[in-house]
Order: sequence, then structure tokens, then C-alpha cells
Amino acid sequence: MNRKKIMNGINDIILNSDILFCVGKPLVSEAKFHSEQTVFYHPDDSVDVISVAVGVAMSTEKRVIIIMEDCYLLRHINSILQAVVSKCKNLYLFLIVSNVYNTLLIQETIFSVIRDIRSTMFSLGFFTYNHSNYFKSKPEIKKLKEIFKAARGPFITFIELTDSKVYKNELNINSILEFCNGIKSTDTELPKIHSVLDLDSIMVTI
Amino acid sequence: MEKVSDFWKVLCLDFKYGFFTGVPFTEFKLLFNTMRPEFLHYVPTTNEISAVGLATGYFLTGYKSAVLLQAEKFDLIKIQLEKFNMLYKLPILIITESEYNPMKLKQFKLNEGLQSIEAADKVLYTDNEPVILVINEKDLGK
Repeated sequence: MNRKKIMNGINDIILNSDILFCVGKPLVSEAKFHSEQTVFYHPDDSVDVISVAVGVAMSTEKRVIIIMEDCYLLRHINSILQAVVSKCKNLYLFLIVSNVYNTLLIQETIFSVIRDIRSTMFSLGFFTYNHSNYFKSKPEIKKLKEIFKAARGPFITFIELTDSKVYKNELNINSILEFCNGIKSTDTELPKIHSVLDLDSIMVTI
Repeated sequence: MEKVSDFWKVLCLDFKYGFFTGVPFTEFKLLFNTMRPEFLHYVPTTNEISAVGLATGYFLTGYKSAVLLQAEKFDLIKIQLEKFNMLYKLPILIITESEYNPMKLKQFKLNEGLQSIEAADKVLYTDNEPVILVINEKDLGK
């Protein structure tokens, strides 16, 4: 299984109303989703997109899906804690396990060093799954679609990669700007704040 | 000297800032102690980068959001602001306690009066860039 096959599989199981965050250069270059307006591609690993997705998940009822690789998990593991603490039922993480951080250098990875990262994630508070086998054939992906519809977050699934070949596609920055504008216009509501007539009365205890 | 309740009234009720986040710190003791769920929503975070990320996520769905940040931690969020918020023009209000401004963002000071909040809000949504609001707690009274 390569990234392209996995991304096509994920494309089949998501709904049009879902908001997707796809991070990391190899994944972004392989990703082609049908619901372009709700997909946020970010090739730069140095930026913390997980917490942005958590912020979106906290403020909307739509399903928010983050697709990332294991090197990104290692880099932003702080935000994983934030995702768990938020207890968002609409937050889903697809973790693609490549076990390769650098093609030129063989090194230890988060999966080889931590004894069992799946149980670690479960202990933190994620509903943890391994859906690698579902991505092997089309009928299996259909089954996964039904499973995924009923799944609730905070959800993390591990998908193991066997072929780490990358086909390069150019990414247009306009698609990202479209996402920002799209999400604002489709999902925007005025902030809901309780009307407080006398703020001083609330602060009596100060 | 401005009253802290007036500050929250202007920021949360007049300008509709409903979401606040950040790592708690002692310089803003009064502000943290006077936060109430009736007029704002505050989420403590594990680090400053997550705080900026959460606030940006809230902004994306149409809410006005602010980050309470210790000024000396500004360098930590530099990359996040440069490569994300400023690149895609996603504004957030950053509330700090000193005038330290390594990124040379537009800065407004609360000691010049509550109208500085209005000025900051105006600039925030016209330039679509993060803006700093400097608050010295000595200027705020109970």
C-alpha cells in the first residue's frame, strides 16, 4: 500500500460535509479529494495544524478529520494532548505510519522506540483502531465507510504504509485560501455570547 | 485607571470576543481571576503554539478569538504566526503584558484608554493580521 492508495481510500469514506486537514509534504502531494472546499492542505511540517483543527472541531458540529504521518505526530505531540483534553466527539485522526523520517538516514522512529504507542494513545483518551487491512481492497473500504459513519471521537486510526514512494504534484496556494474563505462563508455564525446586562453583578465575588 | 469589569464588557460584549486561550501566568492574575463563563469561554493550553492554533481554529469558524500570552514567550509562536496566520491572513488578538514585539506587529496599549480595544479590533479585521494589545495590570482596577 502506498500513500496514493490510502488517500484514495480516505477519499471514499469521507462525507461532503466533513472538514479535512491534510498535513505533511508527502501526503499533500498525493492527496486529491472531491470536496475541495473543505480540505485544508498544509505541506509545511513546522506549523501546528492539529491545534487549529481542534479549534475548528470545538466550534463546529461538523466532523473534523486530520490526516498526518508519524513524523508529524512526534513533532507536535503536545497538540495531541490538547486534542484529547478537548474531548471533541467530532475529531478524527488518521495516522499514516511510514516509519521513515528521512530516506537518506535510517533512524529510530516513535513507533520503534515507544513500547506500544497504540495503547499509549488509548490511555490518553483516544478511541484507538488499526484500519490498515481495510485499505487493501475496494469492498473493504466500503465496509470501513459504514464503520466510520458510526465512529465517535476523539478517534485515532493507524494505517500502515508498505510503500513510501511519492509522486509529486504541484500544490496551488489558492486552494488553501479558498478553504479559508469557504469555511467562513458556509459555517460562519455570529458569536453566541450570553447577554449580560450588569457585568458587575457577576463579579461580586472578586 | 480602567475597571477590569469595564475591560471585559468592552472586549466581550461590545466587540464580541467570546473565545480566549493561553497558558496561565501570574502577570495576568487579575484578568484570569475575573474571567466568567457567562460572557467568555477560556481554554487553558499546554503550550503557546497550541494556544495560537486553537484561537486560529475558532476564527476560521467565525468567532472572534484572543490569546493571552506572556511576552517573553513570543519567540515560541513566531514560526506559527509567520508560516500560518500571516501567510493565510488569519487574524487573532494577542494580549500581552509588556511591549516586547519581535515581529513588529501593530501594537495598542490599554493605558491609552478603552478606545484602544476598538482601534485594535478595527486594524485586526482590515489588515487581517495578528495584533497585540498590551495590558499592564497596574492600569486595571477592581
